[in-house]
Amino acid sequence: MSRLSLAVLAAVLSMFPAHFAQAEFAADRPGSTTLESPTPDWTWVGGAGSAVTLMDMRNDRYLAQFNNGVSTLKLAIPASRNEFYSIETYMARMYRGTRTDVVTVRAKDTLKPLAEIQIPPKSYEGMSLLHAAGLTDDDRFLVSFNMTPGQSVTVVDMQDRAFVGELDTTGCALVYPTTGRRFHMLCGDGGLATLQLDAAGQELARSRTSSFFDPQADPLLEKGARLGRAWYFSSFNGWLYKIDVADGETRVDAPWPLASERQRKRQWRPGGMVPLVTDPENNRLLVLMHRGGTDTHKQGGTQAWVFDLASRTRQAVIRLRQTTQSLHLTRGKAPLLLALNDDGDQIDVYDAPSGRYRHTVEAFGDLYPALFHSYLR
Amino acid sequence: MPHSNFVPVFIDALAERAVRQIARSSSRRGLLKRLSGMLLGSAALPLLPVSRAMAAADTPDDALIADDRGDPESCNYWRYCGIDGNPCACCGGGINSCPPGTELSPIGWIGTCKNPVDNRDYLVSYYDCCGTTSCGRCYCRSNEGERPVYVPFKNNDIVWCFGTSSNTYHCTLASVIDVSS
Repeated sequence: MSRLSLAVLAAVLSMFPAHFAQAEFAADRPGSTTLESPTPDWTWVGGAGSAVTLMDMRNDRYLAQFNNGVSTLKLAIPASRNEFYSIETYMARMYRGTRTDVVTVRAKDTLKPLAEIQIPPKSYEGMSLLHAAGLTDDDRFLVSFNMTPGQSVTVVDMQDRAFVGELDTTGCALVYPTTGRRFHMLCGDGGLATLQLDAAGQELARSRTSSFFDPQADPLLEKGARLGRAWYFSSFNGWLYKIDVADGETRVDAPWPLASERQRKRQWRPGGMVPLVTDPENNRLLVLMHRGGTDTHKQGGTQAWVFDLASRTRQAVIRLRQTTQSLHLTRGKAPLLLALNDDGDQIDVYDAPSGRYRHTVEAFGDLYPALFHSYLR
Repeated sequence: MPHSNFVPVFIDALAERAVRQIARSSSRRGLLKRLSGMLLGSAALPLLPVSRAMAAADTPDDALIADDRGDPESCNYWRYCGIDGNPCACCGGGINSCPPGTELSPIGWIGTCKNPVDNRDYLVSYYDCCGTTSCGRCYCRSNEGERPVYVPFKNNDIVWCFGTSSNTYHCTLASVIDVSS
């Protein structure tokens, strides 16, 4: 064999190990995960701990997390855009320094911030409430409740991503969106204010009901639940109120009791951080109930009572495995009932129609979770 | 307000005494006017009913309460009947004193608590101490007379750190400001 041939052979052979190695080994290519194929059971969990976590509740799968500054969770999810909104507060030095409040627009699939809209640094801070902010039904305007302790709302145009202005709402609090760019607010005199925005986000109309509940003797829990145009609120003592809008007028139906006289004698009452949820598929209302005396409105519930809203009758009782502070129903034809326990470290997952326990979700990021939001709207 | 990073103005002991002195010696309307001036002079806070509650006459000094027995580091302490948070007595402060490193909010919410010793009802003003994250000790949740957010002067879910340099909640004071009528 000539010297040249040997050299060629050696060169060829030297290629084989590499060739074989390449066949067996492909180097990792680190990258990022994008959220794809969401299901109706994907649910955000958050509260006051700044970590907002997305979980697949049916499969107990941790999907993603973002941080929302030093504010309690104020999340709004539009149906018409592939983004969502978080009202966040930041201090220049974490817990001190200049306060800046923003609406952060995030992509639904990557969670990356797409835009930031600065708003007056006065958004409500306190125990987590689903009703500290809300989107108008057309997804156009985000309305955020302010507490300084003067009361007002900030209006933000989410289509143009621009701060619109602030409306004085002295005496009334929180935001309950309803049809026609309207939102309700509960008032300290036992009445309800309804504000309507025009196409530019300016106040078009404002009305106020007369007092229909006693804010001292039997106040409404401000933790309401929406179904269609209507909002449902329970009083401390378990009287259910329905607020509706018909022909542009706010209507308050006569309340009816969640508990029978006998049950009331046994001191069954609603309570907790999120005590009411609605089931639009079946026109039902689920209420977190406990046995307790006067002013136990923050006490966690041991049972979820299921009411048919048409007949106003209790149809089922779901006995909860542990004392529960917050309820949530996932979306879809076979929704899950989520029940956040009193300690805030476990979420029990039930089949909603049957109340059958499925599993418990733990380790979901936030230290002080309180609220759920469905990923899909 | 527990479990929140949030929370802000400052009335020092002198100002507190001044408010009480005014309360003892003034008509309700006169006090409102003066108190309003003080607040506007400091942080331009709106004068809510919570402030007006401080205006009632015959405000007792804490030291004058007949018998203030009980353990301020226990949730059963009578002044905590309307609290939902961490008493500052458990956090390096006292029932009327913010812990070091925190700042007193000048405005708070009101509860009515019965002193079991003299069996009298007292107006208790709960003030938040702000500036560092929640102390996390002796979390107490009594909520007697507590009302929803739309009745703010009786609500303990709101982070009452208004006008302070930080709105981060740390703990809560329980200051007796009046005899309840």
